[in-house]
Amino acid sequence: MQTRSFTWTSLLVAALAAAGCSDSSGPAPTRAFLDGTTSNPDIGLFINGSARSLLLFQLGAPNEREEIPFGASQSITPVGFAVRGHMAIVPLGDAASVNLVDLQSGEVVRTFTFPGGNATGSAWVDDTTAIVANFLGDYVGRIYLHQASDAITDIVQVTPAPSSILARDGRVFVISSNLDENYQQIADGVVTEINPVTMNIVDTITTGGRDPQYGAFGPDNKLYVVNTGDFFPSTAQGSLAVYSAAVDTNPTVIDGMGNAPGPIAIDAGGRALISSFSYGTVVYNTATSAFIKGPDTPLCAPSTEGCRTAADASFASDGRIYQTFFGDQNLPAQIMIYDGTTYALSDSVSIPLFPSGLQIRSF
Amino acid sequence: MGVRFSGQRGAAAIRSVPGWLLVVLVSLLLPLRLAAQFPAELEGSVSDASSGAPVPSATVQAGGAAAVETRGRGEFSIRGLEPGVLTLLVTALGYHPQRLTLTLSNGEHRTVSVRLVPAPIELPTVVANARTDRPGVTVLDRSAIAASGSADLGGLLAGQPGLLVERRGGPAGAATVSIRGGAANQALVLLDGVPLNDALTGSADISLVSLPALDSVVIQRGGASDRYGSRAMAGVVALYSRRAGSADGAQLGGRAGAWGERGGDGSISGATGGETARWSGHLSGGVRHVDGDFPFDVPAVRGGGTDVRANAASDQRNAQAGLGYASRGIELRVRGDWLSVDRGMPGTIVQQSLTAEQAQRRVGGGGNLRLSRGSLNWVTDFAVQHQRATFVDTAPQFSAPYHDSLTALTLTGQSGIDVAVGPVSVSAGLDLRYLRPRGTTLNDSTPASQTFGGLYLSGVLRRSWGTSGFVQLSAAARGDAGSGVGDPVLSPRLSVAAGKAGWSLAASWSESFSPPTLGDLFFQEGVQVRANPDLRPERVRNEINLTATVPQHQVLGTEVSASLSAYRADIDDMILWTPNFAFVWSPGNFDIARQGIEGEVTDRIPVLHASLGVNAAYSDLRYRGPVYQGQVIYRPHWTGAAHLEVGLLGFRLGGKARYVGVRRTGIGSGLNLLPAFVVADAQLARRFRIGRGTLELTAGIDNLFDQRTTLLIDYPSPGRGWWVGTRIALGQDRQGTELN
Repeated sequence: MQTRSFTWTSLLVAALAAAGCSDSSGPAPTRAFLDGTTSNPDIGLFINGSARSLLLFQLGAPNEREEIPFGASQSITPVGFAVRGHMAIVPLGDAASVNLVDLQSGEVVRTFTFPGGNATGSAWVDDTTAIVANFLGDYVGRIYLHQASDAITDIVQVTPAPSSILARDGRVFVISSNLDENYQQIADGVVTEINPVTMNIVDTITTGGRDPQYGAFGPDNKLYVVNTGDFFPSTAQGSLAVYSAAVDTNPTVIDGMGNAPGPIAIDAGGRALISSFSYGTVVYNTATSAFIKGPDTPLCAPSTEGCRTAADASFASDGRIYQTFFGDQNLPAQIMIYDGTTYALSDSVSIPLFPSGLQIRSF
Repeated sequence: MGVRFSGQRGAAAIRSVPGWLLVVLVSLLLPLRLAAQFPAELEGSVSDASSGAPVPSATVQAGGAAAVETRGRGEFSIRGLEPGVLTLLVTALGYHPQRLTLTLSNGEHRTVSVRLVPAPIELPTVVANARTDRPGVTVLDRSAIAASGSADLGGLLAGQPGLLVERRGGPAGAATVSIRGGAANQALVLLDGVPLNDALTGSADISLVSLPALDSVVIQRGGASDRYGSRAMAGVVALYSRRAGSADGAQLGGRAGAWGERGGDGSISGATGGETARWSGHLSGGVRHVDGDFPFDVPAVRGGGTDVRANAASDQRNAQAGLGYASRGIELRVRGDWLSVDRGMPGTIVQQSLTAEQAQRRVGGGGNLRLSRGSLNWVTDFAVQHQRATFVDTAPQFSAPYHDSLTALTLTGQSGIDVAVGPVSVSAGLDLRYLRPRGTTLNDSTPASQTFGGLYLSGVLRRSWGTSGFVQLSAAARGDAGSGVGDPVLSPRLSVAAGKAGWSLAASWSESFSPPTLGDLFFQEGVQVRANPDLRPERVRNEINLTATVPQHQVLGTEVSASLSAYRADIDDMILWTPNFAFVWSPGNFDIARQGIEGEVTDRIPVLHASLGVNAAYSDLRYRGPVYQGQVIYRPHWTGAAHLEVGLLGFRLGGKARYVGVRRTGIGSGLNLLPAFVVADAQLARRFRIGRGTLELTAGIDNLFDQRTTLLIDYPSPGRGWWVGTRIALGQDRQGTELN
């Protein structure tokens, strides 16, 4: 069921090249999909939530796509993934399992399973080790790519409702929403620092805000965690927790992130894209601690009701900003493309409904 | 059937019907579904004209509709008949066929006596079978129910054209039925006129219906709000329980099989009195236990291999009682029933629960009064039902323990009159329904009670010519108002039909509706789900049905009959669940287009004492909106079934197979399709005469080829399993076909 249009396109391109360059020294080499186009090597990846798959597209030719299906079960509800090299770890949500995907071959190589619960966050520790979170089980576990068993072992209990994981310098940082069994807030969110070798907890630090679900490291080595807050609050609760490079002291909490901010991506210059489920994407300069585009003037594609929301956003290597719109009954899901300097909306591409977890990489 | 078209082509095909044909159809007019509010009933006996001896196993076909067989004393009964003029055709081995023309009024219970003249020619042995030669309607009589070998109503309905049965849990787990691609809460399931559809979800758990307690099942496809009001958007399954007067005798049955199944049932019926006054009574009950644990293939996403489905046990107990009195134009019947179910709720195979349990208790009663004078009839039905369901999990794996309950008190009442003057008959009446829900799964906005009311009016004009030709025109409308309906809703229907010598062609136009369920509007918000109090009622607009019926014809020494139906409709604001940006699922209104085709062919092969039937249905249910595209998820385009029954050396061998086509799992996506599958069952039966009664022994294998696939991948179905059954019947309470 995989979409393999790239194969046929590649073959056609190769055939045409061979025919048109018969007097040259030989046919032009065919390009692997992950190489991107000649002019643009970037590949975009996101979860296709409507079809339960990982969708890859070439930024140089956005309609050239490859899709890796995960199965027909209703319990397969991925919302994010982690990439290292050409391998991806994809937690499958309610399926309580994790797919190991070879992006080059477009195949699911292995599946690792929790006993139950809900597999959410994931992060690579090195080329052969990954840590994954179980949102309902309130724990994280370790995967060795070449382990004999499919079971996820080395379980470590963490603060309830872990939703995402980051890895840096031999440590992993687990972001927990800190919700009770009825999904009500127990207290502020928590970052749990773990040694992935011993799986011992090194530290637990509050995020100083409600329901954190996403985080990213900046070029300053600081950890930035987004406190989403309630989705439908009377007043906006979004904030950004900024940890020191050592991540060993309570963070500085920056309020004013608006209503329900979520996924965050930070470029080498320190610009943070924080996408909100309610208003679009803000651009925050972590170096100057100032908004470039704040919640009142976010990156957003207009609609009849104002701004489209943003499921995620990411920087391309050419500096442009790609933003996903989730889609609904009246508006199709799209990728919005913004100029990275003027922040003007320059283009859009239709995509399947319910995208999440956008990443842009070169392989 | 050799019929295949895509949705667009289907629409084009309908649009391309020659104009002259549409003119003819529309100018004729006919009814069929547009008739009265209360179906008529026919019972009687067939005897030898020379000796007066009863004629068992005679075939009685009513109006080109249902066909039943006479029982041991030549008696028969047919329920769920459309009022109006119909032809009764009675055939039996060694007798000349006899044809009678009857006029049945609204809700009439008619008794007829048929005397057959012996003939030197031999007619073929009849194999019990249900046929679909009334437009969109299938009648499964007592014999067909018994011959199916099904353990419950879900098994009986699976494989019927255009129907899809979805079962969750174990082999005795909850099951729902959907019709023509609709949701389960768009199929109205009635037990003696009382909706079984759940107050919270709007769908009916058909696994709770005891088959031995049923006298007949009438399946009506397509919207029928003009007759039944809300919820009848995709079709109606009307169940008629055994009751006082439907038989005279006793029976005792037992069944055991794989997955720890064991159970039994019994009934006794009797009547006394003479021509001026007659009393009758009926008492029945049954128990069924299923351990439920069965092996299943674990999907790759959960590690592969096999596992055992646990916590799928079920205990069901039921009892029914009824009394009837009839005297000079007055008929009074009262009935009561009780149901108790305790069963595990294993959940999905990913999030299994070993401790979740459901308990359900239902008690109900009702009555029916019918007064007749000349061509005027007045019928009143009333029923009360109290149902309490509890859902408990003391130790779920990954959430807090819960103890939820839902209690529903339902009162229903119907009253109507009908009168026939010459070729015209008119019906009018009133339906009322009161619902009082209480439950911990409903939020504080839930209304304390809901009240619904409907007024209907219908008229039928029928003209006959020759011995068997007819043209019939009907018009009907029903107005409904009440809780959750919004503005009063009018559900009209126009229909026309014509036929001769059993051939018939019918066309209808109708509209129907269904309000949002209490669950969609008011259920307690939970994880990843959110109710939507702003939902609008679903409306089916401009539904067009075309049906052609071919009566039994001799083809190469066999008797072939067939029917073909096509339909299309616009469904405005159909309620479907989709996620929002945070993957919180909630119900919303979507515009859908529904179109399809259903066909069925039955072939009797007298020389082999065999019957072969094949049906297929194509159902295209696609989004009409600008964003959501393609077939609605989890709805197969194609379904079908085939059955074969052969009488051999006194045994009855039967086999049936049903096909469910590929289903989408993503909106607008062809990825991750659920594969098509075929499930085949086989059974063997032998009946023995013992004095005034019969003993029947049966055995069967379900899922003969051990297919491990299922409708929903997270709710696996059992693989191959066996069962054996026995039934002793005394007096007239014998059923099925005798081949020995």
